[in-house]
Amino acid sequence: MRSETPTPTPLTCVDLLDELAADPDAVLAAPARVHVAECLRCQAEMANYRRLRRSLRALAGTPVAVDPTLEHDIQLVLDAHDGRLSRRVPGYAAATLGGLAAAAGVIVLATRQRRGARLAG
Amino acid sequence: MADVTAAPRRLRIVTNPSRNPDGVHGSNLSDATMDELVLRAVAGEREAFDEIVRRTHRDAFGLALRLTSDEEDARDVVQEAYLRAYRSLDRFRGDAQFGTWLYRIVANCASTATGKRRRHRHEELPDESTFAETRPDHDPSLHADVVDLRDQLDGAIRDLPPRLRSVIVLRDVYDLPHDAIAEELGITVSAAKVRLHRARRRLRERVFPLPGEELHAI
Ligand SMILES: [Zn+2]
Repeated sequence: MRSETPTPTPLTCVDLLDELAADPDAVLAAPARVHVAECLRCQAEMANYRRLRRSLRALAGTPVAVDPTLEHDIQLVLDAHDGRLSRRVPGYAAATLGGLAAAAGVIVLATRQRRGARLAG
Repeated sequence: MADVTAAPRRLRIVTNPSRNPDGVHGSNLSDATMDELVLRAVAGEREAFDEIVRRTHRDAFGLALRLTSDEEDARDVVQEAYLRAYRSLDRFRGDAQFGTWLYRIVANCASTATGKRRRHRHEELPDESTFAETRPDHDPSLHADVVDLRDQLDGAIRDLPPRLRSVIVLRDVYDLPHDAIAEELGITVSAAKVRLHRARRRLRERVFPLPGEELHAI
């Protein structure tokens, strides 16, 4: 026959899953503290959550590879918002634009020469 | 949680003179502190904002890349974020760190972008899905190499569903407070915490598994 007065159920590892994930350094309530003090698994889990937290924090300081054209693209977006042509032409674009300009010059020149030849003829 | 009220980390500023070797933008800008640049940008000086972009876009891209897990999406997010920041400079309150403010804008833009992509591609993994690849031979204690651990963490973060990835990146990597995360992601603080704990558990199980967990899908 069961007793009428409820006795506190001892905590299990599953009961502490969220608590340990929330903050492995938090001061635990008494029942949780009792469990962790006797449970090697929860102690290891707490230690691993601490390692995880340190490792995640360290990620913020690690550089990622950034395409050198990104800064220029951001400036273009801002220039477009300001309603002005970009004042900045990156090296690769300058070379391309230079090539295009040279090609356009050749075309204009050739057209003029053809027109001149037709007028002369 | 003990760390909820911790002050958000400043945006990491790297001032490298070699990035402006021709001095096109003037020494007064390249020598200015971030606070000075922000003040000048708020006052309408476009060149000051350009200098801010120059100094901060790498960090902003790093955050966007971790949130979207896609380089092209991250580029779009960063461009959109700087445009939003530029347009709303007058609403920037000087009592907040500019870096934190920018991170929040990046987070908001990334949330919108990943939401759009998800709706478009119908590709989000359900929260209880398993990782495609489990690594039973994996034991960080045997691979003390920091770079290796960093790569494993970045890989595990990439494999998280976007809704979990965003909260753990913003909270545990970039140190944004819960209320800011909830606001930028359009969820409640308690929902953000639930997602955070779930994300931590998955990462912990994958990167720092306990004995017996190695073979389990997460
Ligand atoms: Zn236990």
